Amino acid sequence: MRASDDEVEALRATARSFLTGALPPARVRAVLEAGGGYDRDAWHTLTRDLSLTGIAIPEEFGGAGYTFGELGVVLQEFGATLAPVPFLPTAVAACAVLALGDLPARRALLPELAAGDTVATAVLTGAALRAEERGGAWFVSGNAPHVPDGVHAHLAVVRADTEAGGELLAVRLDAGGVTVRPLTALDPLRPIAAVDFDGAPATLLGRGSITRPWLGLELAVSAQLVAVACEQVGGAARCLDMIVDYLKTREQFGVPIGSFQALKHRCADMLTSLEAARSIADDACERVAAAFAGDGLATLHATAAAAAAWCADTYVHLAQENVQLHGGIGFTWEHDAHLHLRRARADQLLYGTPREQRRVVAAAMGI
Amino acid sequence: MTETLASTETVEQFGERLRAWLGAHHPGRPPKGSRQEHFAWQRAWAQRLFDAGFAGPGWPAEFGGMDLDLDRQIAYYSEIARARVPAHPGNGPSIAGPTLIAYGTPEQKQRFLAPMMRGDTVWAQGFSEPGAGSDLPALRTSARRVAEDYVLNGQKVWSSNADVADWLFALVRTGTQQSRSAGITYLLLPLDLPGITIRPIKDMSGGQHFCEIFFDDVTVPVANRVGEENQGWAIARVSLGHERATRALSQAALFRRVFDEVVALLKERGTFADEVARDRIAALEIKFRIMQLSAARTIEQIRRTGEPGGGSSTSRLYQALLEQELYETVLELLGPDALLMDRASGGVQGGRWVANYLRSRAATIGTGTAEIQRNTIAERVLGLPRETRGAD
Repeated sequence: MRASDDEVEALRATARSFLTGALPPARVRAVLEAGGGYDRDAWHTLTRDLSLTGIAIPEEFGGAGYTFGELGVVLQEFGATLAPVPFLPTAVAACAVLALGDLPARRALLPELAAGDTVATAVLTGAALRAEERGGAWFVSGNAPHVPDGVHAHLAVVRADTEAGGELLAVRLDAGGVTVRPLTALDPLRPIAAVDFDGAPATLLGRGSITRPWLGLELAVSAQLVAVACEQVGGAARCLDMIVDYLKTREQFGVPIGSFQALKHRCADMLTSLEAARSIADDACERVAAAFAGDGLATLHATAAAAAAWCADTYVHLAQENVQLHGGIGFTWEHDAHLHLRRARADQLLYGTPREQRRVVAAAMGI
Repeated sequence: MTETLASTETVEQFGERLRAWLGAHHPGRPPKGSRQEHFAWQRAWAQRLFDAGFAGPGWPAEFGGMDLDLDRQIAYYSEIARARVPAHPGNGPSIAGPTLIAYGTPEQKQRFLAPMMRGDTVWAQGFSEPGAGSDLPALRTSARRVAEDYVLNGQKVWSSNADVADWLFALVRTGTQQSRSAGITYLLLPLDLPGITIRPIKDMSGGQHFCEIFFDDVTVPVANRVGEENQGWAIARVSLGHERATRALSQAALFRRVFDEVVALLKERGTFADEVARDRIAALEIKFRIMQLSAARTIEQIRRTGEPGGGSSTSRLYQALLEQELYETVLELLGPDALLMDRASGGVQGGRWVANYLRSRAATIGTGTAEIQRNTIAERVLGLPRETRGAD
């Protein structure tokens, strides 16, 4: 069900007040100084009290029954605050399960994801995994080098090659055959792990599916790209807010530095890029939501890739300007500018670079 | 268009009806001759549209407009963009019309609006001056009150098509020079009055549609004033309802068509064997998608809230920069074939892309430079403080 305008605004307000209340900058800092991890109290509040993890999961599977559009609104707020909770990977994993239209898999996995009992992650791109069937059971092997929140996740939805082609499978990371190696990541607020699968027991998703598996896979990948694009819009918007606030108050030469055209013009260009990002991300969200309802799958991947390319570059641009326009203070560890810069770069590289996304767009153009 | 038709016809049916009419009445390719001939061709098309009831989608019906709702305006602009029909001659309907609708006397509206839309009277704009470009409130063309007339002296510049237009809408100085925007009056005057000299300016693309206008004791009746004396500044800034939003949408539709032509051309030339060319064009494809999505988003915002919302403030700057980037990229990808400017010399598609490249350099200058637009965005939207300027 799609929320009304008022419901969307209420949802945005709920997410925002939770994030600023339960995860003020000091709490984010505490997680950072602890060297990663996540805020478990905040995770409990957002999963148990607010049910945000289940927002785009149908009610019959324990979710709130909204669409991907509403998830996008919430993801923007998470992006703005850099909330150190494994919300995005868990949401993407849920989307991947949902994408296949596999009823038993939905029944088995979605309730625990909706409730937040299970932290999940997804490995849909960037790893060469294989899956094979032995005696009616499935096993996954191979190495996934960059798994976001892999350290915290209990469950991974992975794409693996089988004799029949690419398939999605669910793997319990705390079961046998899985080695999770924490890595020192550029963005400590979303830790990266290398995950080795060595004949790890898995559940094949997509059996009894109504759509063809490769369409579900494409939907899952598109949802992942657009989820990140929403986070990027939220992060970029926060960077511009930080810049504008600073330029209004910081004085040099006896005047607020925001009165200087050299800086104002950069802000105008940033707002122009940001509004463009909002336009393409909002549209992509609606298209993903429509695809979950069975509409417009054919052009979806290029739509998602276009949004991913633009929003990734916009966030990086604004995050870098955020450092520069804060001057010396922006280069300190204490200032949050570097946290956005780290997230912006990590987001730009994690699921395929803008250049790779443009390749998808070019292919869809037939050039 | 009759009431019954409008009330029973769906948006799709309206679009189909317009498309069919445009297809049946399309005037064909533009004439090869002089600029006057080209202008006459545009004028004839405006008259034809008007007489068929297809002019002024957002204008009130009493002034010859169609008074369409938002959905039909959108359908209108997309059909017009697709049909490649001549543009309306002059700046009347887009700039002077909304001002007259909002501030004109009943007599002025009756006299000017329908002929303006029909193209019977073609209008040029007289705002900029040699000493008043970005700083328009510094304008000096004086209008001295003598009984029931104003007597004009001074010079206007960058007036599009003033040499072929019939009337001018102008901002003139009626207050002191120091009063700046509080001493400016909005006047309408025929361009064949005694004392007016018009000189075309050849622009850097070789085109000649900008003009200089000189006023030497030109007498204009006070009845031709729009609004009160010294109130012209605010009056000139009005725009009609959501015209800006619908115009952004029609621009987006137009440039989508141009970009698709670019892609087809480059495909035909084999340019996309090169990975870098593919990347550049895919990047542009994303930007043109955004241009359309932003325009649609603004329209959607208006539909929901009555206001255009945040996305509209930056769309003009975005579109201008994208237009330039398009032609820059085309030239680079055409390579040495872009050295040639006409068909006889072997220029690509008659040198069209090279000419458009040169013309596109005006996109960030005309109707407010990109720099002034950036100031406006920074100050009005982001709330950054004004820079200390010489005058205000």
